[in-house]
Amino acid sequence: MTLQLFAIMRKNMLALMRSRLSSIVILLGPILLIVFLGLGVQTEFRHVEIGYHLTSNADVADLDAFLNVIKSENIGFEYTSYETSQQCISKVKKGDMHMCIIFAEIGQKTTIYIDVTQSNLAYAILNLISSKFEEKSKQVSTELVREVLNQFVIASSQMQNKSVYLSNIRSNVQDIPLKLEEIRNGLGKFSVDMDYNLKDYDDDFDDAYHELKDYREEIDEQYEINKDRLDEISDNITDSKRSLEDKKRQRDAYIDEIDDEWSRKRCYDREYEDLTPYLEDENLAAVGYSDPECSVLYTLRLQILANTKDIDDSIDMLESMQEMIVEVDGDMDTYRSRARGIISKVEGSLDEAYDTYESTSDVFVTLKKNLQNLTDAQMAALSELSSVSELLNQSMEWMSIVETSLDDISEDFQKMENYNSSALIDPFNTTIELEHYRANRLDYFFSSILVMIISFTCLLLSGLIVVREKQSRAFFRNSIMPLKDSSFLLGILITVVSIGFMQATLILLIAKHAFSLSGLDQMGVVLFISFMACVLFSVVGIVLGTILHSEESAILSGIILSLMLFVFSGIIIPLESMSEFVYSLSYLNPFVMIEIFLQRAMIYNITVFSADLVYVYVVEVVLFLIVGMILFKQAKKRI
Amino acid sequence: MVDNIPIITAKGVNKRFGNTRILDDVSFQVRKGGIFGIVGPSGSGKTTLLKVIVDFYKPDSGHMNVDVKRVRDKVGFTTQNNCFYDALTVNENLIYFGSLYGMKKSLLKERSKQLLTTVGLAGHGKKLALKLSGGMSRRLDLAISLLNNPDILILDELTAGLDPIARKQMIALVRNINNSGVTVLISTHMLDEIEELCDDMILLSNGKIIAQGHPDTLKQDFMKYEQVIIQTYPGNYKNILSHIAGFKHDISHYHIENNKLILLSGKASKVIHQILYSLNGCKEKLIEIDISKPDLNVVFEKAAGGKE
Repeated sequence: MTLQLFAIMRKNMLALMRSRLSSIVILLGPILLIVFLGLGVQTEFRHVEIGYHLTSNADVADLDAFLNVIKSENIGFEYTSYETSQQCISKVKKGDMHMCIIFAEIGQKTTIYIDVTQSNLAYAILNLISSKFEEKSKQVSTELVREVLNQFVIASSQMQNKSVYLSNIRSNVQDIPLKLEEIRNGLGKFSVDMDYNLKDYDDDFDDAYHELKDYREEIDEQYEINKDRLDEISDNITDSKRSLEDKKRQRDAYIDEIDDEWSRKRCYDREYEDLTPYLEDENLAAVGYSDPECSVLYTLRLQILANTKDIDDSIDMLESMQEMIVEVDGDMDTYRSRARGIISKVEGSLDEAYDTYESTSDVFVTLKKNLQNLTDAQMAALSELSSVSELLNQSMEWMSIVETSLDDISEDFQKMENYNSSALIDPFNTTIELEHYRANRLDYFFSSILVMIISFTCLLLSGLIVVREKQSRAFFRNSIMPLKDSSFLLGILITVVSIGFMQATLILLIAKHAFSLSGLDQMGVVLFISFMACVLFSVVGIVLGTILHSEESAILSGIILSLMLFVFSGIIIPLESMSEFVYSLSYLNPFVMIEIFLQRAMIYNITVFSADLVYVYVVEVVLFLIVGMILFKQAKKRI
Repeated sequence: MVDNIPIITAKGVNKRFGNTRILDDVSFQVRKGGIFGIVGPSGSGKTTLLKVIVDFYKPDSGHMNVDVKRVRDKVGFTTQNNCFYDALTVNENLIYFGSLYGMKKSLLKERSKQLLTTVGLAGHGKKLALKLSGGMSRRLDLAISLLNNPDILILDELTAGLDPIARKQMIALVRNINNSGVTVLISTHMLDEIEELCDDMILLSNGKIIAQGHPDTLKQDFMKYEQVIIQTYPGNYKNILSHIAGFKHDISHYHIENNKLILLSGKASKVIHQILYSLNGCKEKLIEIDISKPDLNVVFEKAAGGKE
């Protein structure tokens, strides 16, 4: 493919060079253009009317000094002083003056009014005036800077001292993490767990109360049962006693009857004997005894008495039992009363204990709550301590960095002692020649001229070559050769880019040596941007060539398109004064894009390109190539 | 040496541009090592057919099989328009197109020199292509087509515009090339050229093959006719034709064009004799009479069943 591309490029070059007019335009065109430009554009201004007004606070001495500087340059400025700022400004509005400067106190804002209808001139004058302002401000600020430098030196020594303090602080701070760690460990060991549950105590109290109640009930119950039993026993005893007493009365009645009988029979006078020993004899009658009647009565009485002897004992016993029951009953009452008293006392004690418990419970809850808070606080404190520890470590690192930085700054300050104060004010080291040059308008719009030349050359040439190829009889042969369309278009692109780049290089070299343009200090970057411009305008031209069918239409369309891109580039009419829509689209304009790149490199010395613009550039190149390829394929079908 | 192996096979090839049918169901075979002729009047579709063969156009339907490794590398094409750059010299043109084939410079130089000798342009290498004569331009175009040692060489109206000597030289050159093993396809409207060169041919009319076979066979059908052009005053040609009505069967075709009577006949001498004999009777005065081989358009119109 390289061989093919080289062959296409060589063929295109040869074909172009064979045409004398083409070769003259390609080689001599840029040279002639730059020569005419050099002859036409002068470095000095003529008849530039500048009005000025001094505000009440303005330093007249400084203004005079400033005006003297400009006048000494003898650059064709004409000055008029105005009493009021309005007079001065209205002159600009009417077009009588190119510029009006309202001088304020040095150090304050100085306002410049420009006639915008002659924007190029206005900006060039502004440039020059600015440089003069710069010069004046330089004079003023040199002294200030010198003073500042002295202050820097003092600050440097002070900082060195402070650096020692900083080291001390750092060493002190170094111990803090260790101490914090200790505190943290201590806090970690301190346990405030309180795993008690007051409800258990409540339950205990309830149980005690219940138990006491049960005791009381049980005592009462037992008392009632025993009482009932005692009453029953007492009743039984009473019944038994009554029964025994009845028996006794019966016996006594019997005895009385016996005694009566005894008396009636006058047995006290009769012989009688106790028959008891004979009671066991079956034939009692056969037993001989003295007076049977009385003996029987006597024995009966004895027997009755003997047999009822227990009645008396029993009655006595029952009576003693009754007494005992009464006594037991009394004892039971006593015991019950005592038990009740004891229970009441226990209850009282329990009440007291409960009251104490209740009062303690509140304290306990509060205590528990406080302990929980303490636990939370402990955890938070531990966490805080960790964070603080980390922060301290980080702080220590930072302090080290700060310490290092301070040392560096200190060193820098020491170095600055040797600096030239004026070099500090003007980092670009502006010399009087450079300032003089900066007044050259070429410096301001050279980038536009370069883009214009590249756009016209590349756009027209690539369009023309493509149309010529399409019209060529060899086009068919190229189409049936083992050659891809992309290679063919790439060959054309390389040819045009080479020519365009060669022209741009030629112009830049001439400009650098003939006009000493300050912007060409970054020659490599400017050349690279020129190359980018060649590529972009060439692909646009290729698209144009694939659409059009004749050389005339390609030339005319190329010129019209180049002019359109030029008109909407902001060189003639500022982009800022265009409609929002046109303004937003203007950055897609290859002219604008390349001019921005060039201006940044040439005027502002910025060599890093904006990523957005580079992205737009790449997208445009790729897009135009794809469109060109598609249209080229379509064109082949028309052979 | 002609093989019976087909190197190009067309089967039912159709091609349209918009509503116009350019090729209509074209089928043929080209044998390897032979010289194949494609004959037809202007606009019959010859060039389109050749462009389909070199894969410049894809057929709308049908198949075109070219049995070479890579068509664009192995098929040379000499067009009727001299496809090279006028602004380059002969050598520069050869080097440019050779580079597109990927040939190395040393090989290219040697090949260019050899080809210039072959086509008879030795010593003209440094001449601008623009300054070459018609014959030399055709030779340069032929040399470019032969740069990459093609298996197939396509010659589109190779001898058009050449003088008889140059034409003869060119035909001899084509024969030499064919003898070196290259299959040749010639498209032309000159039937005698085909007769001289081709082993096989097709007749194309309005994109359709109207006849195909060996030239000798086809000649029997189409080359026997001669064209008679007569101009008389006052030019009442219908009257003349009615006077020779007895010989009408000897006239295959006639028409009046530009106040001239144009006849096509296999027995032209006999017809002329009768016309001259009848002129007095018709009160016509002879202004011009010419006898020639017929224009192919007329022949093809007849072959395709055109007007009578």
